[in-house]
Amino acid sequence: MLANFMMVVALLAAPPPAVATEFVGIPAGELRSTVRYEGDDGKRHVAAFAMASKAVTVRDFKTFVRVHPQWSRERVPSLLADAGYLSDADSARNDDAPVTHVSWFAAEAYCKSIQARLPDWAEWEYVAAADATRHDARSDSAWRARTFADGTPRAMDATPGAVANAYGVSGMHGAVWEWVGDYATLLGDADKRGSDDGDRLQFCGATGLSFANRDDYAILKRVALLSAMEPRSTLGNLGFRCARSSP
Amino acid sequence: MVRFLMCDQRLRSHSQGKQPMIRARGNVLLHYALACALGLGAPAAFAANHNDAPPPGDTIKAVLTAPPLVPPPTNRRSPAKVVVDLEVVEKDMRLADGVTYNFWTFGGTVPGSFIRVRQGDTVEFTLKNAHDSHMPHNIDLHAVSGQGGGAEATFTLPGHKTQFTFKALNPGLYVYHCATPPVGMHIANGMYGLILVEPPEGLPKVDKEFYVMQGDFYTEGKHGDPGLQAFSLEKAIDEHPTYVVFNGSEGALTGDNALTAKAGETIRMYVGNGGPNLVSSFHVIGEIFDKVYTEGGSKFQENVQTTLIPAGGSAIVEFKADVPGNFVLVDHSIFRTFHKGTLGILKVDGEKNPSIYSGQQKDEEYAPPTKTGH
Repeated sequence: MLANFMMVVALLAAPPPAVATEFVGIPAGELRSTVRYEGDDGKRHVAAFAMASKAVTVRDFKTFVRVHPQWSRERVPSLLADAGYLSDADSARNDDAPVTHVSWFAAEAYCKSIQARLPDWAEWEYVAAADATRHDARSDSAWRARTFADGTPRAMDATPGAVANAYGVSGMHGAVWEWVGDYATLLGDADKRGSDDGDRLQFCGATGLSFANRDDYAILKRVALLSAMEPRSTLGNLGFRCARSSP
Repeated sequence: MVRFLMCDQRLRSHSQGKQPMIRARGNVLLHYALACALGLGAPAAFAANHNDAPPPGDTIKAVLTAPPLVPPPTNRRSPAKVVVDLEVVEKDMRLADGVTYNFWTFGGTVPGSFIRVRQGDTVEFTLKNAHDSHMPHNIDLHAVSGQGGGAEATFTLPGHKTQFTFKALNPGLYVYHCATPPVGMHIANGMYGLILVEPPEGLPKVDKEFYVMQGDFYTEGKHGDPGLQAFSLEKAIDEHPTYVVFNGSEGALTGDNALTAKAGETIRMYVGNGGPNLVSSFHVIGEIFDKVYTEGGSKFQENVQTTLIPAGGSAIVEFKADVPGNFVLVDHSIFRTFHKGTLGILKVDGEKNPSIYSGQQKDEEYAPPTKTGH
């Protein structure tokens, strides 16, 4: 007990862990979002902000848990993370791979710990619209078709030769989906389950109503996934990255 | 005590109905009252009328089969509680020779597992989504009377399972499919199957039953381009499939996989069409359907050559294999058969019957028209 206490003190006294997160400045701009909120046309203004160039890795998150043991698999309350939380952290996974099986609560706590936050959906979508050379590649149907494999091992940014996008951000279309800070409002309702908006997502023939761009299937799939999540839920192919508002 | 309370509530909800309703249901009410007094559940009230019914409170686990197999008839004279347990699995499988596709499946096959219940059954349905699935899935069963056909109740994350219960009110052969957005993509990737709700008297006995389901597939590469083929949204929107096949792949019902029967046997095929886009002109070359339960409903048409099966619909076809031979299942929208894959074989063995079909009796030249002189 005393030893534990001493260790915590020692950790607190130690310099902040060496998680080197590189943030990339994203200029302000207009986004025509694929997601329509109630009664709008999908136009969003995205203020200048900074986006982490990579998703948080297994190694990054291990460091975080060492410093904040309340977020270890053993100690995290079930209110904040489901049974799958960090369930594959000890397996032989590459430490440089994006961390998965993390809840929204844990992702948010991680970003706070590095004086950052989760990106908003609009910020995420804005940056994810870019390919290697264009800030908005979404009118390129061949490129867009490749994004249909997002969240699978065949995702374009999961291939060995994948390069950063035009903003200098990597892995936006990787094998791992990513949490966003305001994911729960994606459907325009605090509790989307059972609401009209939630229903639109779940049933035949109604999906066209809530999406500005009906054939942006990568976004449809991503929103379908996030809308199924609770903030304590974890998945083997869902991770996160952090963002910072411009001062 | 709890059960008694439940029964009591059911009684009360019945008696809140209109007067004629109560009279019509008097007998049922009596059974409820009796069952409650005995501490039995409602199913027992019905079961009491039949000798071969399952014991009170009995729960039956549904037998699920992979295509082309069909579960055995329920052979029940009374409704039961039936448990269905189906898992969504995403996996690479063969689409054609040298061609693979990342299929999304109900139960690991395309089409998904065949489900067989009886009208009046209470079906407790559990949908699992495999841990290695990349996204959530759900199921809309056309046999369900209720919101979304169960879709809302079964929106299931990878590694999770969901459950809902429905009463099979209407008999018929129904399609089920995934209804998670983007719905078209889930169906195009193979997420469909059939559920049969038998009428109370069951279907007439036949010698062989088969499960056949058509589907159209849209790949980035052309028909026959080798390797793992990605889904093409453009071709799907344009409704220009690369493959149109029975049971999930070219060759699923040919060669060693051909359906087999003996001459003289009666055959029933449960035929579905998952789509997502095309309707099927289903035909068996060399046979006439003695009966077609059009669109999977209760009425049958007799003596049918080709039956139209809508996307998201079905038909039950029955015929007697009168003579031996290879009978070819096709979509008689015939270019699909020769260029896109809708071809299956029913191989019937047995004694020839020349009085029905002789086979070739002659092959000879006949005299050319005589030239008229000048």
